[in-house]
Amino acid sequence: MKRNLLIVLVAGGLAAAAFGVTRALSGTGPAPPAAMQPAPGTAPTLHARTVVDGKEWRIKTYENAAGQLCLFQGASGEGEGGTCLDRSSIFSAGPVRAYYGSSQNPGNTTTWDRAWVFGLAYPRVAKLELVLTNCVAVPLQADAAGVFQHVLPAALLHAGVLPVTLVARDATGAILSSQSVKLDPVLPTTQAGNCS
Amino acid sequence: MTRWRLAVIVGAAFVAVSLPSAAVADTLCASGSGTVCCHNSKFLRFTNTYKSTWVVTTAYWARRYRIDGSMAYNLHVTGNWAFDNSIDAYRETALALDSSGSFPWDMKQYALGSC
Repeated sequence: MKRNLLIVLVAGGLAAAAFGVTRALSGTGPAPPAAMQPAPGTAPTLHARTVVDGKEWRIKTYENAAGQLCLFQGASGEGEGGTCLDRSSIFSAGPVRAYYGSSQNPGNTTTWDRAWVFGLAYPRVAKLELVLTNCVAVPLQADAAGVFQHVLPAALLHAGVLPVTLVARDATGAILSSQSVKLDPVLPTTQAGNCS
Repeated sequence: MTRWRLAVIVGAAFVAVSLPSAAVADTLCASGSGTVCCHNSKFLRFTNTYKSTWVVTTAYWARRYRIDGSMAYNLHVTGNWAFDNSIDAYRETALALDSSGSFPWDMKQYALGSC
């Protein structure tokens, strides 16, 4: 009986190994580059946790093996997206590196069901404001690491209120940067207000 | 070797081949690359997908569509990006260039199980 068990284990192992080699050579594997994985012994730090429409949104940062800063954002049950950045280039285009996006529930192609703005702010940025189409300027709070996030709830989006501009100011109130965060594509739903 | 032992070996080999996760972690289900210009879009095909990756050196919209046309993910980014949904779902990875220039692009989508 032991001999039969051994035969089964050896056959299974050989088949699995052969399958893995075949997959690797055929180009269907192995896994994507591990360049975005945390460096060994590195624990991710969570930032900007917020609950919107019953889901927790958070940003995860860590260093990868190449010494880059990795930034991943997502919500519970919604997946997470991110990248890894050379630290020297994070603010090469300005004092705020912002990402903005949106998504829809299944079957809904006429409105956004969630929208968000997040990113990293240079230490010189003292104040961040997200201007919406209804002309409200929502203050955003970057944490000690410069990480910020704002998520718009479905009710606001369904009312046609969308993000327009992200404004960064220094301690004197002077504008350091102002960048468009308008969503694309423009959906048929009428936008509330005109703060563009 | 008896007939039943041979059957056991064939059965074990079949089980091992039928469980790709035992041999590799991801399955590359669709990929594409080339040059994109002038606010145009590029699409992969619908497959089971848990992870999508994009590489474009300028600003673009990284997108994932459901079969009903709704957007499961739509983010304005620059450079490399990855989105991980943790489980396989039937999705199409796409990008829309946010520039009037011409830039190289690369996209891939992976499944945990079969495509």
